[in-house]
Amino acid sequence: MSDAASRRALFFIGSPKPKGSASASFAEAVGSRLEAEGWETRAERIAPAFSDDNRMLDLIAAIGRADLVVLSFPIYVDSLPAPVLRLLEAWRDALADGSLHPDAAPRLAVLSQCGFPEAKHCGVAVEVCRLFAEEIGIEWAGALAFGMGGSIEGRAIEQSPLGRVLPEFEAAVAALAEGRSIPAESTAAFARPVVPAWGYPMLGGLMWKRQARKRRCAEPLTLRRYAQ
Amino acid sequence: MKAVVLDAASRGDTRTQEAADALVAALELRGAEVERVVVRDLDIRPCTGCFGCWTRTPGQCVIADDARAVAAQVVASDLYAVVSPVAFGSFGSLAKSVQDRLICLVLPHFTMIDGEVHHRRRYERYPAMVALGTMPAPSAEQSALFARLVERQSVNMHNSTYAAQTVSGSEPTALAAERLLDAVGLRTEVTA
Repeated sequence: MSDAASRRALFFIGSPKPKGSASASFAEAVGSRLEAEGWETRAERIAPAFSDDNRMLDLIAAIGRADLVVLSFPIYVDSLPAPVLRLLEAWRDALADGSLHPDAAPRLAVLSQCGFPEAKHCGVAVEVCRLFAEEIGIEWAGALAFGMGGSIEGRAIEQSPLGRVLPEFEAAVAALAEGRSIPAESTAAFARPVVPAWGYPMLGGLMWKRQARKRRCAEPLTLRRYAQ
Repeated sequence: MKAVVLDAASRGDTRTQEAADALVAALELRGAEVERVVVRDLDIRPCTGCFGCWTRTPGQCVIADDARAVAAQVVASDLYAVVSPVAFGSFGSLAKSVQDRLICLVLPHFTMIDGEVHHRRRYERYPAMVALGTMPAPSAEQSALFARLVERQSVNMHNSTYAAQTVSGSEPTALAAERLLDAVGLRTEVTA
Protein backbone atom coordinates (compact mmCIF):
# COMPACT_ATOMS: atom_id res chain seq x y z
CA MET A 1 0.00 0.00 0.00
CA SER A 2 1.15 3.56 -0.58
CA ASP A 3 2.43 5.60 2.36
CA ALA A 4 0.09 7.34 4.77
CA ALA A 5 0.68 10.81 3.28
CA SER A 6 -0.23 9.76 -0.25
CA ARG A 7 -3.70 10.03 -1.63
CA ARG A 8 -4.20 7.90 -4.69
CA ALA A 9 -7.59 6.94 -6.06
CA LEU A 10 -8.06 4.18 -8.60
CA PHE A 11 -11.30 4.17 -10.58
CA PHE A 12 -12.42 0.95 -12.20
CA ILE A 13 -14.90 1.57 -15.00
CA GLY A 14 -17.26 -1.40 -15.23
CA SER A 15 -19.15 -0.43 -18.36
CA PRO A 16 -17.98 -2.35 -21.44
CA LYS A 17 -18.52 0.74 -23.60
CA PRO A 18 -15.14 2.09 -24.77
CA LYS A 19 -16.11 5.71 -24.17
CA GLY A 20 -18.94 7.99 -23.16
CA SER A 21 -20.52 5.57 -20.70
CA ALA A 22 -22.52 6.67 -17.67
CA SER A 23 -20.03 4.75 -15.51
CA ALA A 24 -17.14 6.78 -16.94
CA SER A 25 -19.03 10.09 -16.61
CA PHE A 26 -19.90 9.35 -12.98
CA ALA A 27 -16.32 8.34 -12.19
CA GLU A 28 -14.97 11.44 -13.94
CA ALA A 29 -17.22 13.67 -11.85
CA VAL A 30 -15.86 12.16 -8.63
CA GLY A 31 -12.27 11.95 -9.89
CA SER A 32 -12.02 15.59 -10.98
CA ARG A 33 -13.22 16.72 -7.55
CA LEU A 34 -10.74 14.46 -5.77
CA GLU A 35 -7.96 15.91 -7.95
CA ALA A 36 -9.02 19.40 -6.87
CA GLU A 37 -8.46 18.19 -3.30
CA GLY A 38 -4.93 17.10 -4.16
CA TRP A 39 -5.56 13.45 -4.95
CA GLU A 40 -3.81 11.57 -7.74
CA THR A 41 -6.35 9.66 -9.79
CA ARG A 42 -6.18 6.90 -12.36
CA ALA A 43 -9.05 5.30 -14.29
CA GLU A 44 -8.98 1.83 -15.82
CA ARG A 45 -11.59 0.01 -17.87
CA ILE A 46 -12.26 -3.54 -16.71
CA ALA A 47 -13.85 -5.11 -19.81
CA PRO A 48 -10.61 -5.49 -21.86
CA ALA A 49 -9.15 -7.57 -18.99
CA PHE A 50 -12.04 -10.06 -18.94
CA SER A 51 -10.32 -12.51 -21.29
CA ASP A 52 -6.76 -11.23 -20.94
CA ASP A 53 -4.91 -12.50 -17.87
CA ASN A 54 -1.99 -10.10 -18.31
CA ARG A 55 -4.28 -7.09 -18.38
CA MET A 56 -6.06 -8.41 -15.30
CA LEU A 57 -2.70 -8.75 -13.52
CA ASP A 58 -1.96 -5.10 -14.37
CA LEU A 59 -5.27 -4.04 -12.82
CA ILE A 60 -4.55 -6.06 -9.69
CA ALA A 61 -1.06 -4.55 -9.43
CA ALA A 62 -2.59 -1.07 -9.62
CA ILE A 63 -4.73 -1.88 -6.57
CA GLY A 64 -1.51 -2.31 -4.59
CA ARG A 65 -0.70 1.37 -5.15
CA ALA A 66 -4.13 2.80 -4.30
CA ASP A 67 -5.56 4.26 -1.09
CA LEU A 68 -9.08 4.35 -2.46
CA VAL A 69 -10.62 2.10 -5.11
CA VAL A 70 -13.87 3.25 -6.69
CA LEU A 71 -15.91 0.76 -8.72
CA SER A 72 -18.21 2.49 -11.20
CA PHE A 73 -20.54 0.14 -13.04
CA PRO A 74 -24.00 -0.33 -14.58
CA ILE A 75 -26.39 -3.02 -13.37
CA TYR A 76 -26.60 -6.06 -15.64
CA VAL A 77 -29.32 -8.60 -14.86
CA ASP A 78 -29.67 -7.45 -11.25
CA SER A 79 -25.99 -7.65 -10.37
CA LEU A 80 -22.53 -6.56 -11.44
CA PRO A 81 -21.52 -7.10 -15.08
CA ALA A 82 -19.48 -10.31 -15.48
CA PRO A 83 -16.13 -8.51 -16.04
CA VAL A 84 -16.54 -6.59 -12.75
CA LEU A 85 -17.20 -9.84 -10.90
CA ARG A 86 -14.13 -11.31 -12.61
CA LEU A 87 -12.04 -8.41 -11.25
CA LEU A 88 -13.32 -8.98 -7.71
CA GLU A 89 -12.57 -12.71 -7.99
CA ALA A 90 -9.06 -11.97 -9.27
CA TRP A 91 -8.49 -9.45 -6.44
CA ARG A 92 -9.56 -12.03 -3.84
CA ASP A 93 -7.41 -14.74 -5.46
CA ALA A 94 -4.37 -12.44 -5.65
CA LEU A 95 -4.59 -11.80 -1.91
CA ALA A 96 -4.98 -15.53 -1.27
CA ASP A 97 -1.98 -16.59 -3.36
CA GLY A 98 0.22 -13.74 -2.17
CA SER A 99 0.60 -12.02 -5.54
CA LEU A 100 -1.07 -8.97 -3.95
CA HIS A 101 0.47 -8.01 -0.61
CA PRO A 102 -2.01 -8.12 2.30
CA ASP A 103 -1.00 -4.55 3.18
CA ALA A 104 -2.68 -3.51 -0.06
CA ALA A 105 -5.92 -2.57 1.64
CA PRO A 106 -7.48 0.45 -0.04
CA ARG A 107 -10.93 1.63 0.97
CA LEU A 108 -13.66 0.58 -1.46
CA ALA A 109 -16.49 2.81 -2.68
CA VAL A 110 -19.12 2.10 -5.33
CA LEU A 111 -20.87 4.25 -7.95
CA SER A 112 -23.67 2.33 -9.59
CA GLN A 113 -26.58 3.06 -11.91
CA CYS A 114 -29.29 1.12 -13.67
CA GLY A 115 -31.62 1.67 -16.62
CA PHE A 116 -34.77 1.64 -14.48
CA PRO A 117 -36.01 4.71 -12.63
CA GLU A 118 -35.66 3.04 -9.22
CA ALA A 119 -32.22 2.79 -7.58
CA LYS A 120 -33.57 -0.26 -5.77
CA HIS A 121 -32.46 -2.36 -8.73
CA CYS A 122 -28.84 -1.58 -7.74
CA GLY A 123 -29.36 -2.94 -4.22
CA VAL A 124 -28.06 -6.47 -4.72
CA ALA A 125 -24.93 -5.33 -6.57
CA VAL A 126 -24.03 -2.78 -3.90
CA GLU A 127 -24.48 -5.42 -1.22
CA VAL A 128 -22.26 -7.83 -3.21
CA CYS A 129 -19.51 -5.20 -3.17
CA ARG A 130 -19.94 -4.62 0.56
CA LEU A 131 -19.67 -8.35 1.25
CA PHE A 132 -16.60 -8.49 -1.00
CA ALA A 133 -14.93 -5.76 1.09
CA GLU A 134 -15.85 -7.64 4.26
CA GLU A 135 -14.52 -10.94 2.90
CA ILE A 136 -11.11 -9.58 1.91
CA GLY A 137 -10.87 -7.35 4.99
CA ILE A 138 -10.86 -3.86 3.49
CA GLU A 139 -12.82 -0.81 4.60
CA TRP A 140 -16.20 -0.27 2.96
CA ALA A 141 -16.62 3.42 2.09
CA GLY A 142 -20.23 3.24 0.90
CA ALA A 143 -22.08 3.70 -2.35
CA LEU A 144 -24.00 6.13 -4.53
CA ALA A 145 -26.58 4.37 -6.68
CA PHE A 146 -29.26 5.86 -8.89
CA GLY A 147 -31.77 5.04 -11.62
CA MET A 148 -31.95 6.26 -15.23
CA GLY A 149 -28.18 5.93 -15.53
CA GLY A 150 -28.24 6.79 -19.22
CA SER A 151 -29.19 10.35 -18.31
CA ILE A 152 -25.57 11.17 -17.38
CA GLU A 153 -23.88 9.48 -20.33
CA GLY A 154 -21.20 11.81 -21.61
CA ARG A 155 -22.50 14.74 -19.56
CA ALA A 156 -21.19 16.78 -16.68
CA ILE A 157 -23.10 15.98 -13.55
CA GLU A 158 -24.30 19.59 -13.21
CA GLN A 159 -26.00 19.34 -16.61
CA SER A 160 -27.63 16.00 -15.85
CA PRO A 161 -30.69 15.17 -13.72
CA LEU A 162 -28.21 14.53 -10.90
CA GLY A 163 -27.76 18.29 -10.74
CA ARG A 164 -30.71 18.19 -8.34
CA VAL A 165 -28.58 16.38 -5.75
CA LEU A 166 -25.38 18.34 -6.28
CA PRO A 167 -24.96 19.31 -2.57
CA GLU A 168 -25.28 15.67 -1.53
CA PHE A 169 -22.85 14.68 -4.28
CA GLU A 170 -20.28 17.26 -3.12
CA ALA A 171 -20.72 15.99 0.46
CA ALA A 172 -20.09 12.41 -0.68
CA VAL A 173 -16.90 13.34 -2.52
CA ALA A 174 -15.71 15.48 0.41
CA ALA A 175 -16.21 12.50 2.71
CA LEU A 176 -14.19 10.22 0.43
CA ALA A 177 -11.45 12.85 0.14
CA GLU A 178 -11.20 13.11 3.91
CA GLY A 179 -11.06 9.35 4.45
CA ARG A 180 -14.65 9.00 5.61
CA SER A 181 -17.49 6.92 4.20
CA ILE A 182 -20.17 8.32 1.89
CA PRO A 183 -22.84 9.83 4.16
CA ALA A 184 -26.15 7.99 4.34
CA GLU A 185 -27.91 11.28 3.39
CA SER A 186 -26.04 11.33 0.07
CA THR A 187 -26.90 7.69 -0.65
CA ALA A 188 -30.56 8.38 0.13
CA ALA A 189 -30.69 11.53 -2.03
CA PHE A 190 -29.29 9.68 -5.05
CA ALA A 191 -31.83 6.90 -4.60
CA ARG A 192 -34.79 9.27 -5.12
CA PRO A 193 -36.23 8.68 -8.63
CA VAL A 194 -35.87 11.45 -11.23
CA VAL A 195 -39.26 10.64 -12.77
CA PRO A 196 -42.21 8.80 -11.25
CA ALA A 197 -42.03 5.10 -12.03
CA TRP A 198 -45.53 5.04 -13.55
CA GLY A 199 -44.49 7.39 -16.36
CA TYR A 200 -41.37 5.46 -17.29
CA PRO A 201 -42.85 2.63 -19.41
CA MET A 202 -44.24 5.13 -21.94
CA LEU A 203 -41.08 7.26 -21.94
CA GLY A 204 -38.86 4.19 -22.32
CA GLY A 205 -41.00 2.76 -25.13
CA LEU A 206 -40.55 5.91 -27.19
CA MET A 207 -36.81 5.91 -26.55
CA TRP A 208 -36.37 2.32 -27.80
CA LYS A 209 -38.44 3.00 -30.92
CA ARG A 210 -36.30 6.03 -31.69
CA GLN A 211 -33.09 4.07 -31.23
CA ALA A 212 -34.35 1.25 -33.51
CA ARG A 213 -35.24 3.79 -36.23
CA LYS A 214 -31.80 5.37 -35.94
CA ARG A 215 -30.23 1.95 -36.39
CA ARG A 216 -32.46 1.24 -39.39
CA CYS A 217 -33.91 -1.86 -37.75
CA ALA A 218 -36.39 -3.38 -40.22
CA GLU A 219 -37.76 -6.08 -37.91
CA PRO A 220 -40.37 -5.67 -35.18
CA LEU A 221 -38.77 -5.15 -31.78
CA THR A 222 -41.11 -7.82 -30.39
CA LEU A 223 -39.80 -10.55 -32.72
CA ARG A 224 -39.68 -14.04 -31.19
CA ARG A 225 -36.46 -15.38 -32.63
CA TYR A 226 -36.38 -18.76 -30.91
CA ALA A 227 -38.86 -21.66 -31.01
CA GLN A 228 -40.68 -22.74 -27.88
CA MET B 1 -39.96 -31.93 -19.18
CA LYS B 2 -36.93 -30.23 -20.73
CA ALA B 3 -34.25 -28.92 -18.38
CA VAL B 4 -31.14 -26.90 -19.14
CA VAL B 5 -28.40 -27.05 -16.52
CA LEU B 6 -25.76 -24.37 -16.76
CA ASP B 7 -22.59 -25.85 -15.23
CA ALA B 8 -20.61 -22.72 -14.39
CA ALA B 9 -17.75 -24.35 -12.50
CA SER B 10 -14.35 -23.11 -13.49
CA ARG B 11 -11.63 -25.62 -14.41
CA GLY B 12 -10.50 -27.44 -11.29
CA ASP B 13 -13.59 -26.50 -9.26
CA THR B 14 -14.63 -30.09 -8.57
CA ARG B 15 -17.04 -29.08 -5.82
CA THR B 16 -19.26 -27.08 -8.20
CA GLN B 17 -18.95 -29.77 -10.87
CA GLU B 18 -20.10 -32.30 -8.28
CA ALA B 19 -23.08 -30.05 -7.47
CA ALA B 20 -23.96 -29.93 -11.18
CA ASP B 21 -23.70 -33.75 -11.34
CA ALA B 22 -26.08 -34.01 -8.37
CA LEU B 23 -28.61 -31.65 -9.93
CA VAL B 24 -28.52 -33.46 -13.28
CA ALA B 25 -29.02 -36.80 -11.49
CA ALA B 26 -31.94 -35.43 -9.45
CA LEU B 27 -33.59 -34.07 -12.59
CA GLU B 28 -33.14 -37.34 -14.47
CA LEU B 29 -34.67 -39.17 -11.50
CA ARG B 30 -37.74 -37.02 -12.09
CA GLY B 31 -37.85 -38.00 -15.73
CA ALA B 32 -36.47 -34.77 -17.15
CA GLU B 33 -34.70 -34.57 -20.47
CA VAL B 34 -31.53 -32.75 -19.37
CA GLU B 35 -29.12 -30.68 -21.44
CA ARG B 36 -25.96 -29.84 -19.51
CA VAL B 37 -24.25 -26.69 -20.74
CA VAL B 38 -20.63 -26.61 -19.59
CA VAL B 39 -19.85 -22.90 -19.67
CA ARG B 40 -16.06 -23.26 -19.31
CA ASP B 41 -15.95 -25.17 -22.62
CA LEU B 42 -17.93 -22.54 -24.55
CA ASP B 43 -16.99 -19.36 -26.38
CA ILE B 44 -18.98 -16.76 -24.42
CA ARG B 45 -17.88 -13.17 -24.75
CA PRO B 46 -19.06 -10.54 -22.27
CA CYS B 47 -22.08 -8.38 -23.06
CA THR B 48 -20.99 -5.10 -24.62
CA GLY B 49 -24.04 -3.15 -23.47
CA CYS B 50 -24.88 -2.11 -27.06
CA PHE B 51 -28.60 -3.07 -26.84
CA GLY B 52 -28.28 -4.51 -30.35
CA CYS B 53 -30.35 -7.49 -29.22
CA TRP B 54 -33.22 -5.03 -28.66
CA THR B 55 -32.88 -2.46 -31.44
CA ARG B 56 -30.67 -3.93 -34.19
CA THR B 57 -31.44 -7.68 -34.40
CA PRO B 58 -34.44 -7.91 -32.04
CA GLY B 59 -34.40 -11.05 -29.94
CA GLN B 60 -30.85 -12.13 -30.78
CA CYS B 61 -27.49 -10.88 -29.54
CA VAL B 62 -25.33 -9.30 -32.23
CA ILE B 63 -22.27 -11.26 -31.00
CA ALA B 64 -22.04 -14.55 -32.91
CA ASP B 65 -20.80 -16.93 -30.24
CA ASP B 66 -22.18 -19.81 -28.14
CA ALA B 67 -24.43 -17.53 -26.04
CA ARG B 68 -26.96 -17.49 -28.89
CA ALA B 69 -27.48 -21.25 -28.66
CA VAL B 70 -27.73 -21.07 -24.86
CA ALA B 71 -30.44 -18.38 -25.12
CA ALA B 72 -32.41 -20.58 -27.53
CA GLN B 73 -32.05 -23.58 -25.19
CA VAL B 74 -33.14 -21.62 -22.13
CA VAL B 75 -36.31 -20.21 -23.63
CA ALA B 76 -37.28 -23.61 -25.06
CA SER B 77 -36.89 -25.31 -21.67
CA ASP B 78 -39.29 -25.89 -18.79
CA LEU B 79 -36.57 -25.51 -16.18
CA TYR B 80 -33.39 -23.49 -16.33
CA ALA B 81 -30.80 -24.28 -13.65
CA VAL B 82 -27.59 -22.46 -12.82
CA VAL B 83 -24.89 -24.18 -10.78
CA SER B 84 -22.13 -21.79 -9.81
CA PRO B 85 -19.70 -20.89 -7.09
CA VAL B 86 -21.11 -18.06 -4.97
CA ALA B 87 -18.95 -14.95 -5.25
CA PHE B 88 -19.74 -12.54 -2.39
CA GLY B 89 -23.42 -13.45 -2.59
CA SER B 90 -23.58 -13.28 -6.40
CA PHE B 91 -23.15 -15.85 -9.13
CA GLY B 92 -19.52 -16.24 -10.17
CA SER B 93 -18.26 -14.39 -13.24
CA LEU B 94 -18.53 -17.44 -15.50
CA ALA B 95 -22.26 -17.91 -14.84
CA LYS B 96 -22.81 -14.17 -14.99
CA SER B 97 -21.14 -13.92 -18.41
CA VAL B 98 -23.95 -16.12 -19.76
CA GLN B 99 -26.74 -14.43 -17.79
CA ASP B 100 -25.70 -11.00 -19.07
CA ARG B 101 -26.23 -12.31 -22.60
CA LEU B 102 -29.80 -13.48 -21.98
CA ILE B 103 -31.45 -10.06 -22.03
CA CYS B 104 -32.43 -10.78 -25.64
CA LEU B 105 -35.14 -13.02 -24.13
CA VAL B 106 -37.08 -10.03 -22.79
CA LEU B 107 -38.25 -6.88 -24.54
CA PRO B 108 -36.62 -3.47 -24.17
CA HIS B 109 -40.05 -2.02 -23.32
CA PHE B 110 -41.01 -1.54 -19.73
CA THR B 111 -43.92 -2.59 -17.60
CA MET B 112 -44.86 -2.33 -13.93
CA ILE B 113 -44.61 -5.42 -11.73
CA ASP B 114 -45.56 -5.03 -8.07
CA GLY B 115 -45.08 -1.28 -8.32
CA GLU B 116 -41.59 -1.51 -9.88
CA VAL B 117 -40.45 -1.00 -13.45
CA HIS B 118 -39.22 -4.14 -15.24
CA HIS B 119 -38.79 -5.24 -18.84
CA ARG B 120 -41.77 -6.71 -20.65
CA ARG B 121 -41.84 -10.38 -21.65
CA ARG B 122 -40.87 -11.26 -25.23
CA TYR B 123 -42.12 -14.85 -25.08
CA GLU B 124 -45.39 -16.30 -23.95
CA ARG B 125 -43.83 -18.58 -21.39
CA TYR B 126 -40.55 -18.77 -19.50
CA PRO B 127 -38.95 -21.68 -17.64
CA ALA B 128 -38.76 -22.08 -13.89
CA MET B 129 -35.35 -21.01 -12.58
CA VAL B 130 -33.34 -22.81 -9.94
CA ALA B 131 -29.89 -21.89 -8.70
CA LEU B 132 -27.45 -24.01 -6.74
CA GLY B 133 -24.49 -22.11 -5.32
CA THR B 134 -21.37 -23.57 -3.76
CA MET B 135 -19.39 -21.84 -1.02
CA PRO B 136 -16.17 -22.89 0.74
CA ALA B 137 -17.62 -22.04 4.17
CA PRO B 138 -21.11 -21.22 5.43
CA SER B 139 -22.17 -17.59 5.29
CA ALA B 140 -25.75 -16.72 6.18
CA GLU B 141 -25.34 -13.25 4.65
CA GLN B 142 -24.05 -14.57 1.33
CA SER B 143 -26.71 -17.29 1.16
CA ALA B 144 -29.44 -14.73 1.82
CA LEU B 145 -28.07 -12.35 -0.81
CA PHE B 146 -27.78 -15.18 -3.34
CA ALA B 147 -31.46 -16.04 -2.74
CA ARG B 148 -32.40 -12.37 -3.11
CA LEU B 149 -30.49 -12.11 -6.39
CA VAL B 150 -32.25 -15.18 -7.81
CA GLU B 151 -35.61 -13.74 -6.75
CA ARG B 152 -34.81 -10.41 -8.44
CA GLN B 153 -33.59 -12.11 -11.62
CA SER B 154 -36.66 -14.32 -11.80
CA VAL B 155 -38.89 -11.23 -11.72
CA ASN B 156 -36.90 -9.45 -14.43
CA MET B 157 -36.60 -12.58 -16.60
CA HIS B 158 -40.24 -13.62 -16.03
CA ASN B 159 -39.41 -17.10 -14.74
CA SER B 160 -42.57 -19.01 -13.90
CA THR B 161 -41.18 -19.89 -10.48
CA TYR B 162 -37.78 -19.96 -8.81
CA ALA B 163 -35.72 -21.38 -5.95
CA ALA B 164 -32.17 -20.99 -4.68
CA GLN B 165 -29.96 -23.14 -2.47
CA THR B 166 -26.37 -22.89 -1.32
CA VAL B 167 -24.08 -25.68 -0.14
CA SER B 168 -20.94 -25.05 1.86
CA GLY B 169 -18.00 -27.06 3.09
CA SER B 170 -18.63 -30.77 2.72
CA GLU B 171 -22.44 -30.56 2.87
CA PRO B 172 -23.97 -33.18 0.56
CA THR B 173 -24.81 -31.65 -2.80
CA ALA B 174 -27.39 -34.35 -3.57
CA LEU B 175 -29.55 -33.27 -0.65
CA ALA B 176 -29.36 -29.62 -1.75
CA ALA B 177 -30.34 -30.59 -5.30
CA GLU B 178 -33.34 -32.53 -3.99
CA ARG B 179 -34.47 -29.61 -1.83
CA LEU B 180 -34.11 -27.22 -4.74
CA LEU B 181 -36.30 -29.26 -7.06
CA ASP B 182 -38.84 -29.92 -4.30
CA ALA B 183 -39.06 -26.16 -3.80
CA VAL B 184 -40.24 -25.63 -7.38
CA GLY B 185 -42.70 -28.50 -7.13
CA LEU B 186 -40.65 -31.15 -8.91
CA ARG B 187 -41.06 -34.04 -6.55
CA THR B 188 -39.88 -37.58 -7.12
CA GLU B 189 -42.79 -39.83 -7.92
CA VAL B 190 -43.25 -42.48 -5.27
CA THR B 191 -44.60 -45.77 -6.59
CA ALA B 192 -46.12 -48.41 -4.31
